[in-house]
Amino acid sequence: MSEFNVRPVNGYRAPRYPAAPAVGESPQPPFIANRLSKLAPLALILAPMTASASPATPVVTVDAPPRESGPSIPAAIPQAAIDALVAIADQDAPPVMQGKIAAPSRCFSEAEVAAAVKDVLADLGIKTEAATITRDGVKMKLAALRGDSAVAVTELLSKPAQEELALLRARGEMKVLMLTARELEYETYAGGTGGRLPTREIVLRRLRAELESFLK
Amino acid sequence: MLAALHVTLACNLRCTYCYAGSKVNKSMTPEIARKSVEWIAKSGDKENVVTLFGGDPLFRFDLVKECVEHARTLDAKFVWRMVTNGTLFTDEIFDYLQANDILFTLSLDGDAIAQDLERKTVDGRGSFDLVLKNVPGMLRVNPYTKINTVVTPRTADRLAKSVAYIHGLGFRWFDVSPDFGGAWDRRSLATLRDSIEELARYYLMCHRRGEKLNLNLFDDKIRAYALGASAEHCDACDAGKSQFSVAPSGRIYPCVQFVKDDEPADEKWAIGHIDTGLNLSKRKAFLDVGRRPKTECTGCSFEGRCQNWCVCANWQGTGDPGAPAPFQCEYERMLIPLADKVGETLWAERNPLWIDKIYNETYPVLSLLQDLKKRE
Repeated sequence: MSEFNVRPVNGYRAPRYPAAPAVGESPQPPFIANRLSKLAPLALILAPMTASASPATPVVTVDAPPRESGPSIPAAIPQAAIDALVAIADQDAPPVMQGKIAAPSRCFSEAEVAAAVKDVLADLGIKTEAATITRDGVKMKLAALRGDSAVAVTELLSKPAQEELALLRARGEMKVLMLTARELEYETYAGGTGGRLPTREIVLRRLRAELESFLK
Repeated sequence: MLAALHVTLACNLRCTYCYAGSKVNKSMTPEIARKSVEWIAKSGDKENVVTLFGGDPLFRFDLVKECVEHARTLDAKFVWRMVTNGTLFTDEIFDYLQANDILFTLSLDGDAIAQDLERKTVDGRGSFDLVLKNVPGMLRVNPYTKINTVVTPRTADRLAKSVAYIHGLGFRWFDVSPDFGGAWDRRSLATLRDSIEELARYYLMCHRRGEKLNLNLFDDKIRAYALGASAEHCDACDAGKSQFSVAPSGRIYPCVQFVKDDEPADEKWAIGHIDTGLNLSKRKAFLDVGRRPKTECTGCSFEGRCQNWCVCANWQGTGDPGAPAPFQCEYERMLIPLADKVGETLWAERNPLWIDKIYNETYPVLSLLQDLKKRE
Protein backbone atom coordinates (compact mmCIF):
# COMPACT_ATOMS: atom_id res chain seq x y z
CA MET A 1 0.00 0.00 0.00
CA SER A 2 1.46 3.33 -1.02
CA GLU A 3 2.13 5.84 1.71
CA PHE A 4 1.40 8.60 -0.79
CA ASN A 5 -1.90 10.13 -1.79
CA VAL A 6 -3.32 11.94 -4.76
CA ARG A 7 -4.36 15.40 -3.67
CA PRO A 8 -4.76 18.61 -5.66
CA VAL A 9 -2.54 21.60 -4.98
CA ASN A 10 -4.51 24.75 -4.33
CA GLY A 11 -3.46 28.35 -4.62
CA TYR A 12 -0.03 27.82 -6.11
CA ARG A 13 1.28 31.20 -7.20
CA ALA A 14 2.18 31.75 -10.84
CA PRO A 15 5.87 31.38 -11.65
CA ARG A 16 7.76 34.62 -12.21
CA TYR A 17 8.77 34.04 -15.78
CA PRO A 18 6.72 34.86 -18.88
CA ALA A 19 3.89 32.61 -19.80
CA ALA A 20 1.50 32.18 -22.63
CA PRO A 21 -2.05 33.14 -21.84
CA ALA A 22 -4.83 30.76 -22.67
CA VAL A 23 -5.73 30.48 -26.32
CA GLY A 24 -8.10 33.24 -27.30
CA GLU A 25 -6.92 35.64 -24.63
CA SER A 26 -5.53 38.93 -25.75
CA PRO A 27 -2.85 39.93 -26.31
CA GLN A 28 -1.30 36.86 -27.81
CA PRO A 29 2.33 36.66 -26.77
CA PRO A 30 4.94 35.69 -29.28
CA PHE A 31 5.68 32.42 -27.61
CA ILE A 32 2.67 30.62 -28.90
CA ALA A 33 3.34 31.51 -32.46
CA ASN A 34 3.74 27.83 -33.18
CA ARG A 35 0.00 27.62 -33.08
CA LEU A 36 -0.09 30.04 -35.98
CA SER A 37 2.10 27.92 -38.16
CA LYS A 38 0.07 28.57 -41.27
CA LEU A 39 1.52 32.05 -41.38
CA ALA A 40 4.63 32.54 -43.40
CA PRO A 41 8.01 33.67 -42.15
CA LEU A 42 9.38 36.99 -43.20
CA ALA A 43 12.92 37.45 -44.27
CA LEU A 44 15.20 40.31 -45.05
CA ILE A 45 17.63 39.57 -47.81
CA LEU A 46 20.66 41.38 -49.03
CA ALA A 47 21.41 39.87 -52.36
CA PRO A 48 24.03 40.80 -54.94
CA MET A 49 22.16 41.55 -58.14
CA THR A 50 24.96 40.36 -60.35
CA ALA A 51 25.01 36.83 -59.09
CA SER A 52 25.03 34.20 -61.74
CA ALA A 53 24.17 30.58 -61.68
CA SER A 54 26.89 28.54 -60.05
CA PRO A 55 27.51 24.88 -59.34
CA ALA A 56 24.86 23.18 -57.34
CA THR A 57 25.42 22.91 -53.64
CA PRO A 58 23.22 21.28 -51.05
CA VAL A 59 19.75 22.62 -50.71
CA VAL A 60 18.85 22.96 -47.10
CA THR A 61 15.38 22.90 -45.78
CA VAL A 62 15.15 22.22 -42.13
CA ASP A 63 11.66 21.36 -41.06
CA ALA A 64 10.61 21.62 -37.48
CA PRO A 65 11.41 18.33 -35.80
CA PRO A 66 8.49 15.96 -35.46
CA ARG A 67 7.44 15.55 -31.90
CA GLU A 68 7.77 12.31 -30.08
CA SER A 69 6.96 12.75 -26.46
CA GLY A 70 7.49 16.33 -25.55
CA PRO A 71 9.19 19.45 -26.70
CA SER A 72 12.79 18.30 -26.25
CA ILE A 73 13.24 16.26 -29.35
CA PRO A 74 16.74 16.90 -30.56
CA ALA A 75 16.98 13.48 -32.08
CA ALA A 76 14.59 14.53 -34.80
CA ILE A 77 17.09 16.49 -36.82
CA PRO A 78 17.54 14.64 -40.08
CA GLN A 79 21.06 13.52 -40.77
CA ALA A 80 20.74 14.84 -44.30
CA ALA A 81 20.09 18.30 -42.90
CA ILE A 82 23.08 18.03 -40.62
CA ASP A 83 25.28 17.01 -43.52
CA ALA A 84 24.02 19.86 -45.62
CA LEU A 85 24.59 22.35 -42.85
CA VAL A 86 28.11 21.09 -42.38
CA ALA A 87 28.67 21.38 -46.10
CA ILE A 88 27.59 24.99 -45.99
CA ALA A 89 29.77 25.72 -43.00
CA ASP A 90 32.64 24.24 -45.00
CA GLN A 91 32.03 26.75 -47.74
CA ASP A 92 32.48 29.60 -45.33
CA ALA A 93 29.11 30.87 -46.37
CA PRO A 94 26.87 32.77 -43.99
CA PRO A 95 25.26 30.41 -41.56
CA VAL A 96 21.85 29.30 -42.48
CA MET A 97 19.45 30.26 -39.77
CA GLN A 98 16.32 28.93 -41.30
CA GLY A 99 13.95 26.95 -39.25
CA LYS A 100 10.27 26.67 -39.32
CA ILE A 101 9.51 29.94 -37.69
CA ALA A 102 6.07 31.39 -37.81
CA ALA A 103 5.37 35.07 -37.81
CA PRO A 104 2.34 36.16 -35.88
CA SER A 105 0.80 38.59 -38.30
CA ARG A 106 -1.06 40.49 -35.62
CA CYS A 107 2.26 41.92 -34.51
CA PHE A 108 3.16 43.56 -37.72
CA SER A 109 2.45 43.10 -41.35
CA GLU A 110 4.78 42.76 -44.27
CA ALA A 111 3.88 46.31 -45.24
CA GLU A 112 4.95 47.54 -41.83
CA VAL A 113 8.22 45.66 -42.09
CA ALA A 114 8.76 47.15 -45.52
CA ALA A 115 8.05 50.64 -44.21
CA ALA A 116 10.48 50.17 -41.34
CA VAL A 117 13.13 48.87 -43.70
CA LYS A 118 12.57 51.81 -46.02
CA ASP A 119 12.96 54.27 -43.15
CA VAL A 120 16.18 52.71 -41.97
CA LEU A 121 17.61 52.64 -45.46
CA ALA A 122 16.72 56.27 -45.95
CA ASP A 123 18.48 57.11 -42.71
CA LEU A 124 21.51 55.29 -44.05
CA GLY A 125 21.37 57.26 -47.27
CA ILE A 126 20.38 54.34 -49.41
CA LYS A 127 17.97 55.00 -52.21
CA THR A 128 14.94 52.78 -52.20
CA GLU A 129 12.47 51.84 -54.80
CA ALA A 130 9.16 50.25 -54.18
CA ALA A 131 9.10 47.32 -56.51
CA THR A 132 8.27 43.73 -56.84
CA ILE A 133 11.06 41.69 -58.27
CA THR A 134 11.46 38.02 -58.77
CA ARG A 135 14.83 36.52 -58.46
CA ASP A 136 15.43 32.85 -59.01
CA GLY A 137 11.94 32.06 -57.93
CA VAL A 138 11.98 34.17 -54.82
CA LYS A 139 9.50 36.96 -54.94
CA MET A 140 10.69 40.13 -53.28
CA LYS A 141 8.25 42.90 -52.74
CA LEU A 142 10.38 45.83 -51.71
CA ALA A 143 13.68 46.34 -53.37
CA ALA A 144 16.23 48.83 -52.21
CA LEU A 145 19.20 49.21 -54.47
CA ARG A 146 22.71 49.91 -53.34
CA GLY A 147 25.48 49.36 -55.80
CA ASP A 148 25.30 45.80 -56.83
CA SER A 149 23.10 44.77 -53.99
CA ALA A 150 19.46 44.75 -53.19
CA VAL A 151 17.67 44.72 -49.95
CA ALA A 152 14.38 43.02 -50.19
CA VAL A 153 11.67 42.06 -47.86
CA THR A 154 10.22 38.83 -48.87
CA GLU A 155 7.48 36.65 -47.66
CA LEU A 156 8.43 33.09 -48.28
CA LEU A 157 5.14 31.60 -49.11
CA SER A 158 6.01 28.47 -50.95
CA LYS A 159 8.32 25.61 -50.23
CA PRO A 160 9.98 25.89 -53.66
CA ALA A 161 10.71 29.53 -52.94
CA GLN A 162 12.24 28.62 -49.61
CA GLU A 163 14.36 25.98 -51.27
CA GLU A 164 15.45 28.49 -53.86
CA LEU A 165 16.50 30.88 -51.19
CA ALA A 166 18.38 28.16 -49.39
CA LEU A 167 20.18 27.33 -52.61
CA LEU A 168 21.19 30.92 -53.16
CA ARG A 169 22.52 31.13 -49.66
CA ALA A 170 24.26 27.82 -50.01
CA ARG A 171 26.13 29.14 -53.02
CA GLY A 172 27.32 31.99 -50.88
CA GLU A 173 25.89 34.48 -53.31
CA MET A 174 23.91 36.41 -50.84
CA LYS A 175 24.16 37.53 -47.32
CA VAL A 176 20.95 36.82 -45.58
CA LEU A 177 19.54 38.33 -42.48
CA MET A 178 16.57 36.24 -41.68
CA LEU A 179 14.48 37.68 -38.95
CA THR A 180 10.98 36.85 -38.12
CA ALA A 181 8.44 38.73 -36.19
CA ARG A 182 8.56 36.05 -33.58
CA GLU A 183 12.31 36.15 -33.18
CA LEU A 184 12.24 39.89 -32.87
CA GLU A 185 9.56 39.71 -30.30
CA TYR A 186 11.10 37.21 -28.03
CA GLU A 187 14.50 38.79 -28.31
CA THR A 188 12.99 42.12 -27.47
CA TYR A 189 11.10 40.54 -24.64
CA ALA A 190 14.24 38.90 -23.35
CA GLY A 191 16.06 42.16 -23.78
CA GLY A 192 14.30 43.78 -20.89
CA THR A 193 10.83 45.12 -21.26
CA GLY A 194 10.23 44.42 -17.62
CA GLY A 195 8.21 41.33 -18.25
CA ARG A 196 5.65 43.21 -20.32
CA LEU A 197 4.71 42.14 -23.76
CA PRO A 198 6.66 44.15 -26.28
CA THR A 199 4.69 46.77 -28.10
CA ARG A 200 4.70 47.03 -31.83
CA GLU A 201 6.93 50.09 -31.57
CA ILE A 202 9.50 48.22 -29.54
CA VAL A 203 9.54 45.38 -32.02
CA LEU A 204 9.95 47.71 -34.98
CA ARG A 205 12.68 49.63 -33.18
CA ARG A 206 14.52 46.37 -32.73
CA LEU A 207 14.05 45.59 -36.39
CA ARG A 208 15.65 48.89 -37.29
CA ALA A 209 18.58 48.16 -35.01
CA GLU A 210 19.09 44.74 -36.55
CA LEU A 211 18.95 46.11 -40.07
CA GLU A 212 21.31 48.96 -39.34
CA SER A 213 23.78 46.56 -37.85
CA PHE A 214 23.39 44.20 -40.79
CA LEU A 215 24.02 46.86 -43.41
CA LYS A 216 27.07 48.39 -41.81
CA MET B 1 1.52 7.96 -36.81
CA LEU B 2 3.84 7.34 -33.94
CA ALA B 3 4.71 3.67 -33.74
CA ALA B 4 7.12 1.43 -31.91
CA LEU B 5 8.20 -1.79 -33.54
CA HIS B 6 9.23 -4.39 -30.98
CA VAL B 7 11.36 -6.33 -33.41
CA THR B 8 12.50 -8.56 -30.56
CA LEU B 9 11.78 -8.97 -26.88
CA ALA B 10 15.24 -10.41 -26.28
CA CYS B 11 17.79 -8.36 -24.40
CA ASN B 12 21.25 -8.93 -23.03
CA LEU B 13 20.54 -6.86 -19.91
CA ARG B 14 18.32 -7.55 -16.93
CA CYS B 15 17.54 -4.11 -15.57
CA THR B 16 15.80 -4.32 -12.23
CA TYR B 17 12.98 -1.95 -13.11
CA CYS B 18 12.36 -2.97 -16.70
CA TYR B 19 8.70 -3.00 -17.64
CA ALA B 20 9.24 -5.01 -20.79
CA GLY B 21 8.31 -8.50 -19.65
CA SER B 22 10.69 -11.34 -18.90
CA LYS B 23 12.99 -10.88 -21.92
CA VAL B 24 11.82 -14.00 -23.66
CA ASN B 25 13.73 -14.80 -26.80
CA LYS B 26 10.87 -13.90 -29.07
CA SER B 27 11.27 -11.85 -32.23
CA MET B 28 9.28 -10.81 -35.22
CA THR B 29 9.57 -13.04 -38.23
CA PRO B 30 10.82 -11.18 -41.29
CA GLU B 31 7.30 -11.47 -42.68
CA ILE B 32 5.74 -9.86 -39.62
CA ALA B 33 8.38 -7.14 -39.68
CA ARG B 34 7.49 -6.32 -43.27
CA LYS B 35 3.76 -6.48 -42.63
CA SER B 36 4.13 -4.21 -39.61
CA VAL B 37 5.84 -1.61 -41.73
CA GLU B 38 3.11 -1.96 -44.35
CA TRP B 39 0.43 -1.50 -41.71
CA ILE B 40 2.08 1.73 -40.58
CA ALA B 41 2.41 2.94 -44.15
CA LYS B 42 -1.32 2.51 -44.61
CA SER B 43 -1.98 5.16 -41.96
CA GLY B 44 -1.91 7.71 -44.75
CA ASP B 45 -0.15 10.15 -42.44
CA LYS B 46 2.22 12.62 -44.01
CA GLU B 47 4.99 11.23 -41.87
CA ASN B 48 5.37 8.14 -39.72
CA VAL B 49 7.78 8.35 -36.83
CA VAL B 50 8.76 4.79 -36.04
CA THR B 51 10.86 3.77 -33.08
CA LEU B 52 12.71 0.47 -33.26
CA PHE B 53 12.22 -1.02 -29.85
CA GLY B 54 12.87 -4.16 -27.84
CA GLY B 55 14.12 -5.86 -25.76
CA ASP B 56 17.06 -4.32 -27.47
CA PRO B 57 16.49 -3.92 -31.20
CA LEU B 58 20.19 -4.36 -31.92
CA PHE B 59 19.87 -7.91 -30.66
CA ARG B 60 18.20 -8.50 -34.03
CA PHE B 61 19.93 -6.03 -36.28
CA ASP B 62 18.84 -8.14 -39.25
CA LEU B 63 15.23 -7.24 -38.45
CA VAL B 64 16.08 -3.58 -38.05
CA LYS B 65 17.43 -3.66 -41.59
CA GLU B 66 14.44 -5.66 -42.80
CA CYS B 67 12.08 -2.93 -41.57
CA VAL B 68 14.08 -0.02 -42.92
CA GLU B 69 14.75 -1.60 -46.31
CA HIS B 70 11.14 -2.65 -46.76
CA ALA B 71 9.85 0.79 -45.82
CA ARG B 72 11.89 2.20 -48.64
CA THR B 73 9.80 0.25 -51.13
CA LEU B 74 6.54 1.75 -49.86
CA ASP B 75 4.83 4.97 -50.76
CA ALA B 76 5.03 6.57 -47.33
CA LYS B 77 7.46 8.71 -45.40
CA PHE B 78 9.24 7.10 -42.45
CA VAL B 79 11.35 8.80 -39.83
CA TRP B 80 13.34 6.21 -37.90
CA ARG B 81 14.25 6.23 -34.25
CA MET B 82 15.64 3.59 -31.97
CA VAL B 83 15.93 3.02 -28.25
CA THR B 84 18.92 0.96 -27.22
CA ASN B 85 20.94 0.01 -24.16
CA GLY B 86 24.09 0.94 -26.08
CA THR B 87 26.00 -2.29 -25.48
CA LEU B 88 25.67 -3.94 -28.89
CA PHE B 89 27.00 -1.33 -31.28
CA THR B 90 29.53 -2.27 -33.92
CA ASP B 91 31.13 -0.16 -36.62
CA GLU B 92 28.81 -1.76 -39.14
CA ILE B 93 25.80 -0.76 -37.08
CA PHE B 94 27.04 2.79 -36.61
CA ASP B 95 27.56 3.13 -40.35
CA TYR B 96 24.12 1.76 -41.11
CA LEU B 97 22.38 4.03 -38.60
CA GLN B 98 24.16 7.04 -39.97
CA ALA B 99 23.52 6.15 -43.59
CA ASN B 100 19.82 5.64 -42.92
CA ASP B 101 19.19 8.59 -40.60
CA ILE B 102 18.22 6.35 -37.71
CA LEU B 103 18.53 8.50 -34.62
CA PHE B 104 18.67 6.75 -31.30
CA THR B 105 18.08 7.26 -27.63
CA LEU B 106 20.46 5.65 -25.17
CA SER B 107 19.23 4.15 -21.92
CA LEU B 108 21.92 4.99 -19.38
CA ASP B 109 21.41 5.52 -15.69
CA GLY B 110 24.55 7.36 -14.81
CA ASP B 111 28.05 6.71 -13.67
CA ALA B 112 29.37 3.20 -13.07
CA ILE B 113 27.87 2.98 -9.58
CA ALA B 114 24.32 3.83 -10.62
CA GLN B 115 24.45 1.97 -13.92
CA ASP B 116 25.90 -1.23 -12.54
CA LEU B 117 23.52 -1.27 -9.62
CA GLU B 118 20.36 -1.46 -11.70
CA ARG B 119 21.41 -2.37 -15.23
CA LYS B 120 23.19 -5.70 -15.15
CA THR B 121 23.95 -8.21 -17.86
CA VAL B 122 22.29 -11.61 -18.05
CA ASP B 123 25.15 -13.10 -16.04
CA GLY B 124 24.89 -10.44 -13.35
CA ARG B 125 27.80 -8.19 -14.28
CA GLY B 126 27.54 -4.43 -14.56
CA SER B 127 26.92 -3.05 -18.02
CA PHE B 128 28.65 0.30 -17.63
CA ASP B 129 31.89 -0.62 -19.37
CA LEU B 130 30.00 -2.18 -22.27
CA VAL B 131 28.26 1.13 -22.89
CA LEU B 132 31.22 3.39 -22.24
CA LYS B 133 33.32 1.88 -25.00
CA ASN B 134 30.65 2.88 -27.51
CA VAL B 135 30.23 6.50 -26.40
CA PRO B 136 32.60 8.03 -28.97
CA GLY B 137 30.83 6.22 -31.78
CA MET B 138 27.43 7.27 -30.56
CA LEU B 139 28.37 10.92 -30.34
CA ARG B 140 30.00 10.72 -33.75
CA VAL B 141 26.94 9.48 -35.59
CA ASN B 142 24.33 11.15 -33.40
CA PRO B 143 25.79 14.17 -31.60
CA TYR B 144 22.51 14.94 -29.91
CA THR B 145 21.87 11.45 -28.64
CA LYS B 146 19.20 11.64 -26.01
CA ILE B 147 19.83 9.90 -22.70
CA ASN B 148 17.01 8.08 -20.95
CA THR B 149 17.84 7.85 -17.26
CA VAL B 150 15.68 6.00 -14.80
CA VAL B 151 16.16 6.85 -11.16
CA THR B 152 15.22 4.31 -8.53
CA PRO B 153 15.08 4.50 -4.73
CA ARG B 154 18.55 2.91 -4.70
CA THR B 155 20.09 5.39 -7.13
CA ALA B 156 18.21 8.51 -6.01
CA ASP B 157 21.19 9.85 -4.10
CA ARG B 158 23.39 9.68 -7.21
CA LEU B 159 21.12 11.43 -9.69
CA ALA B 160 22.94 14.76 -9.82
CA LYS B 161 26.35 13.09 -9.98
CA SER B 162 25.10 10.77 -12.70
CA VAL B 163 23.71 13.51 -14.91
CA ALA B 164 26.85 15.58 -14.44
CA TYR B 165 28.99 12.59 -15.33
CA ILE B 166 27.06 11.79 -18.51
CA HIS B 167 27.01 15.48 -19.41
CA GLY B 168 30.75 15.45 -19.05
CA LEU B 169 30.96 12.62 -21.57
CA GLY B 170 29.47 14.99 -24.15
CA PHE B 171 25.76 14.22 -24.06
CA ARG B 172 23.46 17.21 -23.94
CA TRP B 173 19.87 15.95 -23.87
CA PHE B 174 18.42 14.13 -20.90
CA ASP B 175 15.10 12.54 -20.21
CA VAL B 176 15.11 11.55 -16.55
CA SER B 177 12.20 9.81 -14.94
CA PRO B 178 11.70 7.94 -11.72
CA ASP B 179 10.88 4.28 -11.75
CA PHE B 180 7.16 4.72 -11.30
CA GLY B 181 6.80 1.10 -10.29
CA GLY B 182 9.59 1.33 -7.71
CA ALA B 183 9.33 0.87 -3.95
CA TRP B 184 9.40 4.56 -3.10
CA ASP B 185 8.78 5.75 0.43
CA ARG B 186 9.01 9.14 2.09
CA ARG B 187 12.66 8.69 2.92
CA SER B 188 13.76 7.80 -0.61
CA LEU B 189 11.57 10.56 -2.03
CA ALA B 190 13.31 13.03 0.29
CA THR B 191 16.63 11.74 -1.00
CA LEU B 192 15.42 12.26 -4.54
CA ARG B 193 14.39 15.79 -3.68
CA ASP B 194 17.87 16.54 -2.32
CA SER B 195 19.40 15.15 -5.52
CA ILE B 196 17.12 17.22 -7.73
CA GLU B 197 18.04 20.33 -5.76
CA GLU B 198 21.70 19.47 -6.30
CA LEU B 199 20.93 18.94 -9.95
CA ALA B 200 19.26 22.36 -10.05
CA ARG B 201 22.49 23.94 -8.88
CA TYR B 202 24.39 22.12 -11.60
CA TYR B 203 21.80 23.19 -14.19
CA LEU B 204 22.11 26.83 -13.12
CA MET B 205 25.89 26.65 -13.24
CA CYS B 206 25.85 25.19 -16.74
CA HIS B 207 23.51 27.87 -18.05
CA ARG B 208 25.52 30.64 -16.48
CA ARG B 209 28.62 29.26 -18.19
CA GLY B 210 26.78 28.95 -21.49
CA GLU B 211 27.09 25.16 -21.44
CA LYS B 212 24.13 23.41 -22.99
CA LEU B 213 22.20 21.07 -20.76
CA ASN B 214 18.71 20.05 -21.77
CA LEU B 215 17.01 18.34 -18.91
CA ASN B 216 13.38 17.36 -19.07
CA LEU B 217 12.96 17.58 -15.30
CA PHE B 218 13.13 21.36 -15.48
CA ASP B 219 12.74 22.20 -19.16
CA ASP B 220 9.46 20.37 -19.70
CA LYS B 221 7.82 21.71 -16.57
CA ILE B 222 8.90 25.24 -17.37
CA ARG B 223 7.89 24.97 -21.00
CA ALA B 224 4.51 23.59 -20.09
CA TYR B 225 3.87 26.85 -18.31
CA ALA B 226 5.82 29.21 -20.56
CA LEU B 227 4.56 27.91 -23.86
CA GLY B 228 1.23 26.56 -22.85
CA ALA B 229 2.52 23.20 -24.03
CA SER B 230 0.05 21.63 -21.65
CA ALA B 231 -2.55 22.17 -24.29
CA GLU B 232 -0.93 19.38 -26.24
CA HIS B 233 -0.74 16.96 -23.38
CA CYS B 234 -3.22 17.61 -20.66
CA ASP B 235 -6.03 15.41 -21.94
CA ALA B 236 -4.05 12.24 -22.36
CA CYS B 237 -1.06 10.91 -24.16
CA ASP B 238 -1.49 9.62 -27.68
CA ALA B 239 -1.33 5.97 -26.64
CA GLY B 240 -3.92 4.08 -28.59
CA LYS B 241 -4.98 7.21 -30.44
CA SER B 242 -2.18 7.99 -32.85
CA GLN B 243 0.58 6.05 -31.12
CA PHE B 244 0.89 2.28 -31.25
CA SER B 245 3.27 -0.53 -30.41
CA VAL B 246 3.56 -3.56 -32.64
CA ALA B 247 4.72 -6.72 -30.86
CA PRO B 248 6.58 -9.72 -32.31
CA SER B 249 3.29 -11.58 -32.75
CA GLY B 250 1.86 -8.73 -34.78
CA ARG B 251 -0.47 -7.69 -31.99
CA ILE B 252 -0.95 -3.97 -31.68
CA TYR B 253 -0.79 -2.42 -28.22
CA PRO B 254 -1.45 1.19 -27.19
CA CYS B 255 2.05 1.83 -25.88
CA VAL B 256 5.36 0.08 -25.30
CA GLN B 257 4.71 -0.79 -21.68
CA PHE B 258 1.66 -2.92 -22.45
CA VAL B 259 3.50 -5.39 -24.68
CA LYS B 260 5.11 -7.35 -21.82
CA ASP B 261 5.82 -10.92 -23.04
CA ASP B 262 3.30 -10.60 -25.86
CA GLU B 263 1.57 -13.75 -24.70
CA PRO B 264 -2.15 -14.48 -24.92
CA ALA B 265 -2.33 -13.37 -21.28
CA ASP B 266 -1.19 -9.91 -22.36
CA GLU B 267 -3.81 -9.74 -25.06
CA LYS B 268 -6.14 -7.98 -22.66
CA TRP B 269 -4.39 -4.76 -23.60
CA ALA B 270 -4.00 -5.46 -27.30
CA ILE B 271 -6.13 -3.22 -29.48
CA GLY B 272 -5.60 -4.92 -32.80
CA HIS B 273 -3.38 -7.02 -35.02
CA ILE B 274 -1.47 -6.09 -38.14
CA ASP B 275 -3.44 -8.72 -40.08
CA THR B 276 -6.83 -7.39 -39.11
CA GLY B 277 -6.08 -3.78 -38.19
CA LEU B 278 -7.31 -1.97 -35.13
CA ASN B 279 -10.11 -3.45 -33.10
CA LEU B 280 -12.13 -0.29 -32.80
CA SER B 281 -14.22 -1.34 -29.83
CA LYS B 282 -11.17 -2.41 -27.80
CA ARG B 283 -9.39 0.74 -28.79
CA LYS B 284 -12.33 2.88 -27.74
CA ALA B 285 -12.57 1.03 -24.45
CA PHE B 286 -8.89 1.73 -23.79
CA LEU B 287 -9.19 5.38 -24.70
CA ASP B 288 -12.28 5.73 -22.55
CA VAL B 289 -10.40 4.38 -19.56
CA GLY B 290 -7.17 6.28 -20.16
CA ARG B 291 -8.78 9.60 -20.99
CA ARG B 292 -11.53 9.69 -18.44
CA PRO B 293 -11.63 12.87 -16.32
CA LYS B 294 -9.21 12.86 -13.42
CA THR B 295 -11.68 13.88 -10.77
CA GLU B 296 -9.06 13.39 -8.06
CA CYS B 297 -7.15 16.26 -9.66
CA THR B 298 -10.00 18.74 -9.97
CA GLY B 299 -8.88 22.25 -9.18
CA CYS B 300 -5.19 21.37 -8.93
CA SER B 301 -2.87 24.25 -9.76
CA PHE B 302 -0.57 21.83 -11.56
CA GLU B 303 -3.19 20.57 -13.97
CA GLY B 304 -1.62 20.59 -17.41
CA ARG B 305 1.92 20.54 -16.07
CA CYS B 306 1.64 17.23 -14.31
CA GLN B 307 1.89 13.97 -16.22
CA ASN B 308 -1.28 12.52 -14.80
CA TRP B 309 -2.20 11.87 -18.43
CA CYS B 310 0.49 9.18 -18.84
CA VAL B 311 -1.42 5.93 -19.05
CA CYS B 312 1.75 3.90 -18.53
CA ALA B 313 2.81 5.68 -15.34
CA ASN B 314 -0.75 5.42 -14.05
CA TRP B 315 -0.92 1.76 -14.94
CA GLN B 316 2.38 1.04 -13.22
CA GLY B 317 1.33 2.90 -10.12
CA THR B 318 -2.28 1.84 -9.78
CA GLY B 319 -2.98 -0.93 -12.27
CA ASP B 320 -5.49 1.41 -13.90
CA PRO B 321 -4.34 3.47 -16.92
CA GLY B 322 -6.81 6.19 -16.08
CA ALA B 323 -6.12 6.58 -12.36
CA PRO B 324 -3.43 9.06 -11.31
CA ALA B 325 -0.76 7.32 -9.30
CA PRO B 326 -0.14 8.49 -5.72
CA PHE B 327 3.65 8.45 -6.08
CA GLN B 328 3.45 10.39 -9.32
CA CYS B 329 1.32 13.03 -7.63
CA GLU B 330 3.76 13.33 -4.74
CA TYR B 331 6.66 13.52 -7.17
CA GLU B 332 5.04 16.21 -9.31
CA ARG B 333 4.20 18.28 -6.23
CA MET B 334 7.86 18.14 -5.31
CA LEU B 335 9.29 18.69 -8.80
CA ILE B 336 7.21 21.53 -10.26
CA PRO B 337 8.05 24.14 -7.59
CA LEU B 338 11.74 23.23 -7.93
CA ALA B 339 11.55 23.68 -11.69
CA ASP B 340 9.83 27.04 -11.26
CA LYS B 341 12.53 28.20 -8.88
CA VAL B 342 15.14 27.38 -11.50
CA GLY B 343 13.11 29.13 -14.21
CA GLU B 344 12.58 32.22 -12.12
CA THR B 345 16.28 32.46 -11.33
CA LEU B 346 17.38 32.22 -14.95
CA TRP B 347 14.66 34.57 -16.14
CA ALA B 348 15.64 37.12 -13.51
CA GLU B 349 19.19 36.87 -14.86
CA ARG B 350 17.85 37.07 -18.44
CA ASN B 351 20.06 34.09 -19.22
CA PRO B 352 20.24 34.06 -23.03
CA LEU B 353 20.87 30.34 -23.39
CA TRP B 354 17.92 29.44 -21.23
CA ILE B 355 15.60 31.96 -22.90
CA ASP B 356 16.56 30.66 -26.30
CA LYS B 357 16.00 27.07 -25.26
CA ILE B 358 12.64 27.64 -23.63
CA TYR B 359 11.03 30.15 -25.95
CA ASN B 360 12.54 29.46 -29.37
CA GLU B 361 10.87 26.60 -31.17
CA THR B 362 13.79 26.24 -33.53
CA TYR B 363 16.35 25.96 -30.75
CA PRO B 364 17.28 22.30 -31.37
CA VAL B 365 18.17 22.98 -35.00
CA LEU B 366 19.94 26.27 -34.42
CA SER B 367 21.76 24.84 -31.44
CA LEU B 368 23.08 21.94 -33.47
CA LEU B 369 24.25 24.27 -36.20
CA GLN B 370 26.04 26.36 -33.63
CA ASP B 371 27.72 23.29 -32.17
CA LEU B 372 28.81 22.03 -35.56
CA LYS B 373 30.44 25.34 -36.32
CA LYS B 374 32.21 25.30 -32.98
CA ARG B 375 33.52 21.82 -33.63
CA GLU B 376 35.32 22.86 -36.77
